[in-house]
Amino acid sequence: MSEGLRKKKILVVDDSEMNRSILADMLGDDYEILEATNGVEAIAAIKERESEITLMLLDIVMPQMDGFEVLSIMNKGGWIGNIPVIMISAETSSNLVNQAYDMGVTDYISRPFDGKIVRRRVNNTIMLYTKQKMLQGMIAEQILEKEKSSSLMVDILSNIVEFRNGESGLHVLHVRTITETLLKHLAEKTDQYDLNHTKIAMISLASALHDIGKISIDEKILNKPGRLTDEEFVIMKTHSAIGGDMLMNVAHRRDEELVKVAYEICRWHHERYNGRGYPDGLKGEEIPISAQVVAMADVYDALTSKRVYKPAFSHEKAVEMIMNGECGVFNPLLLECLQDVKEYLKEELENKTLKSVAEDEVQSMTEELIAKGDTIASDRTLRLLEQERIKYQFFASMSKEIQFEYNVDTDMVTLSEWGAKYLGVDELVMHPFEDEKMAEILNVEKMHEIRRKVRATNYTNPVVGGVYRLHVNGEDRWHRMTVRAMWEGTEEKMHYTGAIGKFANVDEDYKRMDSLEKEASHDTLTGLFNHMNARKLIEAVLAERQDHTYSLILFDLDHFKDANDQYGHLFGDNVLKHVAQKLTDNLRREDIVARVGGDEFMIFLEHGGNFEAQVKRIFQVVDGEYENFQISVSMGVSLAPKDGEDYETLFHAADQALYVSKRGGRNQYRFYDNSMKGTLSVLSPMDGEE
Amino acid sequence: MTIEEFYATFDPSGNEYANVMGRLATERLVNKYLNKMLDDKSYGNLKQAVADGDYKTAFMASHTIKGICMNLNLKPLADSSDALTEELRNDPDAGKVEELLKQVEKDYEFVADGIRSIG
Repeated sequence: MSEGLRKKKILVVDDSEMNRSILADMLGDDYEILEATNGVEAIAAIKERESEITLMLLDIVMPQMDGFEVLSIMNKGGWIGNIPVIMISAETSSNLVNQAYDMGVTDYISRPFDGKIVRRRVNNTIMLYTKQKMLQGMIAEQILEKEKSSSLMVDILSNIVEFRNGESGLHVLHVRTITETLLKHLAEKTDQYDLNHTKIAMISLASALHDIGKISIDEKILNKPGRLTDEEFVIMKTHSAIGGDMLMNVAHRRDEELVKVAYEICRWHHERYNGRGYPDGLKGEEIPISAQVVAMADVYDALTSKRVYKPAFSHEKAVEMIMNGECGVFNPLLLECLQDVKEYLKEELENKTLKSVAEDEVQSMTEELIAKGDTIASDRTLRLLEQERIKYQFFASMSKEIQFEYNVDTDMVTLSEWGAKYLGVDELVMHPFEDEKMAEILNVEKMHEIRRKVRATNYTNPVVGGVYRLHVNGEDRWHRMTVRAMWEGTEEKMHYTGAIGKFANVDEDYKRMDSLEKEASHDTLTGLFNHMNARKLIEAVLAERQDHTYSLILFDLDHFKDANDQYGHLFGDNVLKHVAQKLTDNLRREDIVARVGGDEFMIFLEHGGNFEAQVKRIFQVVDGEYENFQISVSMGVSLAPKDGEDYETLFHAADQALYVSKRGGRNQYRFYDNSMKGTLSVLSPMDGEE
Repeated sequence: MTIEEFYATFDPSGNEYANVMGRLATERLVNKYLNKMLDDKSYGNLKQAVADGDYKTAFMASHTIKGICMNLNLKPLADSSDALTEELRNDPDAGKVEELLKQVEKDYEFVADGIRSIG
């Protein structure tokens, strides 16, 4: 592993300046110290520079967000697996310490700090993590590497050997299986060779290359039917050294572990434990374990295979010959291994075909990885948390809802991954009530309204809801909010710690409801308000009238019955629509225009004093022609507050004025005055005209 | 007064001095932190918070003082601030807090005087 030139960074999280300073002094020579004065700052630092932070020293008792909350967020965010945390605190209660360990803390240093101890623990923890990381990295790499190269290499080599050596291609595979089996068993027996999974996999893989040097041996010698002469045997023996040289010449990959291991195997797989092998006559443990194991595998497979110069020996016979030293002396420990695994080996090799090799590989890789995974994430709690996190994430992403958590002490909102993406914000939002982006999504007053609602809940009834319009991706969408307040403590003394909840998109439902509501409050033919709704609106305006003045105008179309009779109802409807359109075009948005009966309309509008001109203008606006039908109206007007201050009175007065207009010959407008009191009503059933 | 003499004012055995030197390595550093301690606002915060009845803030401040004193081996003040911290942690009793604070004040002033007279 190469050491970077830059110093590794340690994040020190402690509210006491003095403590940070002491730790900085103790560690400053070897590490770069980043400081955070509380949990909120710590999380911000992690979010920003996760990949740079090698280790975190974390105090427990801090204002704003304490150490445990930091750990809990680190667990949730999956950061705890990447950044080792050492707790530093004056706390000595074993409860707290245990809780810290449960939450994934690697080590615990209590005050007072001892410079040497702090340095050593920090170094150890970093080393441990680095090692673990490296291992994880290697396994990952190995899987990739395997997929890339292993089957390819096996294919190529099998072919080469098959073509040139006349041996069955299965030799390479057999050597590999035997090598792997022996190594695994050896690793169980002793740790003297430092055989971890990675190394075993690598040696097994490299074993395929053991005879690569044979490529350079003359075909006549290689494939000679019958025993080799001494001279030929000397040439044959060069294949191991040549194989080694070939690997050394893979210039740019010389430093790769796989190439190194392959080199050992190629050059030394004909060495023997007693120093009587070739090419270097290495003795005992001078021979790398990789080469020792492959040597035994090679011999075993040669014995059990048919050669031009010899028959295939049985499995039992081969083992016996090796045990007796008939094929050279082997490491006694390896001989023991062979004895232990011989039955298993026999079965394995009998069933070995090219296809099953590949399947086996996947199988064993998976098994080993699972086993390895256990040792890496030694802390069960962590894994459970991780699982919970995955579950939560999965469900959250399926639900297409914005899920959130708010913590009152830290004043921070955590959003579900999906929710954050949907809203286009970070998953962690500090100080949401002051956050500009949040304010764009939901207006600040609404946020405070929700906060008030939530805080007004109690322990037994903590859920509140509501429908809010969120501004997402440039458009407003309706969302139904459900929030549960989190209360903590005992019944007598509860305190509010935050809330969890969700926003679900109900935009379509709402838009549909919106239009239903509109339909209900509007006249379907003309799109104007209906009588009931107009009345409500007018009453609302009058209730807040203060010193404003209004006119209430009622009118109906003269001789409308003729239109219907002469041209049919459809035509009549079109006339009504035409009038409604004229009104809408010529009145202000705040004026209330309604169709209150068959051909009766009502207008309610504020007048700035000159009400007569206003009424005249409207009277003239509706006056005109629609497809040869002459439109004129009779109009009655009452004024607020002069003729009344409530809807009933005003409506009645306008109604009476209208009656007077009609009696006066139609096509005119009249303002109510006291002389009209007691006259008949147009809109009452007593209307003689209809 | 030397740093060693200062530590001897409350610990004639010399253990505390030996311990702090063992951990922080040089007198320069010990001196630096002792003086930093005088600048630390926790003591002022503690008194103010207790006066305001804000025991949560008082707990933080007292906890910080305890941590500092443990790091600097200022045993008497470490002990008295520890006692105060524990009282403040859960359901503090106003009378007890007052009483424990008095001891902290006494120890703090003693330590502060001592630090100021280190030459």
